Amino acid sequence: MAGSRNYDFLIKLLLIGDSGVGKSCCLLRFSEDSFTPSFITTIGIDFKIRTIELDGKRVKLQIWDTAGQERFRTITTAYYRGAMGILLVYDVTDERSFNNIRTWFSNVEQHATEGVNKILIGNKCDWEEKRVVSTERGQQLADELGIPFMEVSAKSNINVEKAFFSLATDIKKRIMDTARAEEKAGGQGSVVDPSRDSGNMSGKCC
Amino acid sequence: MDELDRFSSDRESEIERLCNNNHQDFVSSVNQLLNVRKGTVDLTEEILKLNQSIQKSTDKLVEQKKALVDSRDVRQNIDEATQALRLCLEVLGLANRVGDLLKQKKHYAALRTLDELQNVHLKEVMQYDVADMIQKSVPAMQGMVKEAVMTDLNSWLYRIRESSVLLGQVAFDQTELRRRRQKERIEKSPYLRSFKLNSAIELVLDEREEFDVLDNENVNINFTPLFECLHIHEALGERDEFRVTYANVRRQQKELLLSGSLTLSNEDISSLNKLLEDICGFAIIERATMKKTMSFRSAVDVDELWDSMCKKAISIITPALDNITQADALLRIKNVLALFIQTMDSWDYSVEALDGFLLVLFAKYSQRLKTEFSADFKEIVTSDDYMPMPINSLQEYDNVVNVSWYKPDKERDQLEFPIVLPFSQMYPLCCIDIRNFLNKYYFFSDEYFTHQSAIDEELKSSLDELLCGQVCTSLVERLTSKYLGQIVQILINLEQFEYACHELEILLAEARQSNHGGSTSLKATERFRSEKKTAEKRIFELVNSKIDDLVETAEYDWMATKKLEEPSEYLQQMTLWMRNIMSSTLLGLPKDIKGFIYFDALSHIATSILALPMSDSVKKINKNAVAALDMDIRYLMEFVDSLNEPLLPTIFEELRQTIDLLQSDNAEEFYSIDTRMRRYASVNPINGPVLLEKLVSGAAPVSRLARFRQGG
Repeated sequence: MAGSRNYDFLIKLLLIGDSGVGKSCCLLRFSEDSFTPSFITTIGIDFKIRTIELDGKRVKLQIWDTAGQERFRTITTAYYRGAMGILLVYDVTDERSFNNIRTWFSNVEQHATEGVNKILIGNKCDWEEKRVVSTERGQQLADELGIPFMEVSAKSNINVEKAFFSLATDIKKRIMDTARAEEKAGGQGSVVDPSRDSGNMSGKCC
Repeated sequence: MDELDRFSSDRESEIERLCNNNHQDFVSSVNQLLNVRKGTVDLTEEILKLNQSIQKSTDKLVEQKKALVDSRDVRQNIDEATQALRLCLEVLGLANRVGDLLKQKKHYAALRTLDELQNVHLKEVMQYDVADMIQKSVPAMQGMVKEAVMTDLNSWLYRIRESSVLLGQVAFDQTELRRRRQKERIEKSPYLRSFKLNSAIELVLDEREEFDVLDNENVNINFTPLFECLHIHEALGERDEFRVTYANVRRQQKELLLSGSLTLSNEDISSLNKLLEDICGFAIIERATMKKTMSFRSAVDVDELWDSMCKKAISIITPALDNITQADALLRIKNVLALFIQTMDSWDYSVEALDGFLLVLFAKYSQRLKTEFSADFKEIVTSDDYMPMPINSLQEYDNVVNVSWYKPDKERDQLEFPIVLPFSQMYPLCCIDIRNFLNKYYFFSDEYFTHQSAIDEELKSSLDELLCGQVCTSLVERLTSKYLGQIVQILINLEQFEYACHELEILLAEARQSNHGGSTSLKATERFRSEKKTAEKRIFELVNSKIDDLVETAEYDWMATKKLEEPSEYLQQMTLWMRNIMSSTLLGLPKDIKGFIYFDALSHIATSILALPMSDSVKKINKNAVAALDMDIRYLMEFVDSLNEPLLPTIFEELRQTIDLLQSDNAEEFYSIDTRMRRYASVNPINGPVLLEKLVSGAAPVSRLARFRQGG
């Protein structure tokens, strides 16, 4: 089916974090460049697709948006395994959501594929007067967890694009590296279309 | 002759003889006579002397007698003068008394006195100038009496004008009390419900309560000055003139009463209270005057005055209503008017014009309600989270269920909290609003409203307007959302509203029963029902677009060099996702709709999968690829079987048979009608050959170059 394929890479991402931190809003901003002020709770699971271009390659991002609420936890955990990249989102105006990041992180460690790319996202950074988690603390936690960090605002469209792109770039790089390593180890198929190969790789990764 | 001579001689002889015989005597007699004569003279003399002396003594007497007579005359004169003076004094005294009585405000007494003076006393002294003078001053004094009573009347009129507001207030309070008593009676004996205030029954039942609006601890309207004035004018024969004057004065007072303009605001309608109390007081006094006096105030006059007051009042109130922007304020205005109407009705005034005005007020009220509730509904619909409503306690549950039209599927005592109700929060909120909305309509007819059917009709159409125009439309507008969960919730809410509409129809019919028939079916019921289909379609659309997204990540290698060991990644994801949305996002949907959605989604999956090898970009297919497809179909069928939906497996017939055909060692069978109908009846007659051809091409030896091209 490679002939009809409209992308070179398929990357599957996962958004996790407490209820109300703005995961769906970040996704809406990224996939449709829009924002809704009304509070919409994700029920169970949802996903959106956006194809971006990275280094001349069409990268199809399939981004899974999970419900933050505890009652959907069994459903959402099933998606950890397929994810190639995970965005751990907290709300800079909500201390609790920040503290819970450690729990989310350990969930990732427990359920996700080893070597999955992660990024720590502090949403609602436009809301300075309500902010309770400083950028420094965010950075500190990210350093501690050993993952990249970015503060974003889905509402004011700050850094949302950048966060997804940065994560996608990291993942693409990792896939390419793995592919190359496998290629070296296997040494088979000297004349293979690289994009096709990586595509297959992506399948194996998730 | 001889004889005669003889006789004469005889007689002569006899005389001779006689004379001879009596001579002596004669002489003595003469002597005696002489003596007597002498005595007589003496006596006469004596008498004369006596007479003279008597004469002397009577002279004095005469004189005295004369004096006596004279003094008697004088005395009589004096007596007469005294009498006259006394009469005059009496008249003057009476005249003065008139003045005194006037001063003492005893006007009628003054007038009576004047009358007595004129008709009795003055007549006795008419000959005197003073009488004339007094006579002339009588009309002036009458004028004074009239003036005095008129002054009194004017100050009375002023007083009643001042107290008419209070009188109105007391009358209103009285009506209010009667309402309360009637309510109490109805509580005790419900059959009295159909008897309104001022009905004959109510009046009879309330008879025991004696209360004089005109004479109580708060108000005391004493009609004496009017009666006195009337009495006096009657006495003066000026009754008709007085009637006209009084009628004019009252008309002027009416003009004065209704001269101002009215300012009303949402917060303050006290000026309307005052106006109506004023009118009420005025009219009650008119009616009372009419009843207390015989044909002094004509019924025509009074009613005419009343009609013009009503007309004027309405023309004053109408523009003031423009300031009222809140339904509640309009309701308060209605209540004051209703109290006024009932009070006036009990005084036998026609309330037709005011009833008509209430209709105008009602139209405004309805308009305001619609505006207010539209805004409310909009707010509710906008701020909803479109999530099934979580309920944490029995109390919370009761609160929600009691206000909503919701048929719970579990018994109340079997609930284990927390639970989640199917609808989102907007539903109970809208239900509360709808109930309030209905109540507000019925509030308008509370106590008094003669056009109940107008309320019923207006309520039905307004409710329809709100349900269709606000609730339903707003929900449908939100169907453009891309959040499946939100659409599902909208569909569930639409269904709940449809049920609510049925209940509302029953409610409306019940409220009507006592009055009249007429249809109570709501257009909204049908609207909600049909919009459910719209929502359903939107769900299909969204689910299918997600399926497309997932199918787009299918990565079949049509010329795979080896067989795969497990179903395609994208299908595993698809089934996981479907399972998940079924147990979360779609969970709350009614079972039948859920069935439709599964059916539609799976059909879409089947069609999409079949379209993959059919794609023009796929030129060749090999057995490994077909095996992969076969494994995927089996995987899907297993999934479908696990759903326990009887109709679903048929969806994959075509796909199944097509793969069977491709896997068959004897593909020629397809071209024989018999076997085709038996084994491949569901295979599309065009697709079948195309795929077989691709399979044949795939079976041919492939050069590396060709493979390379195909991959690109």
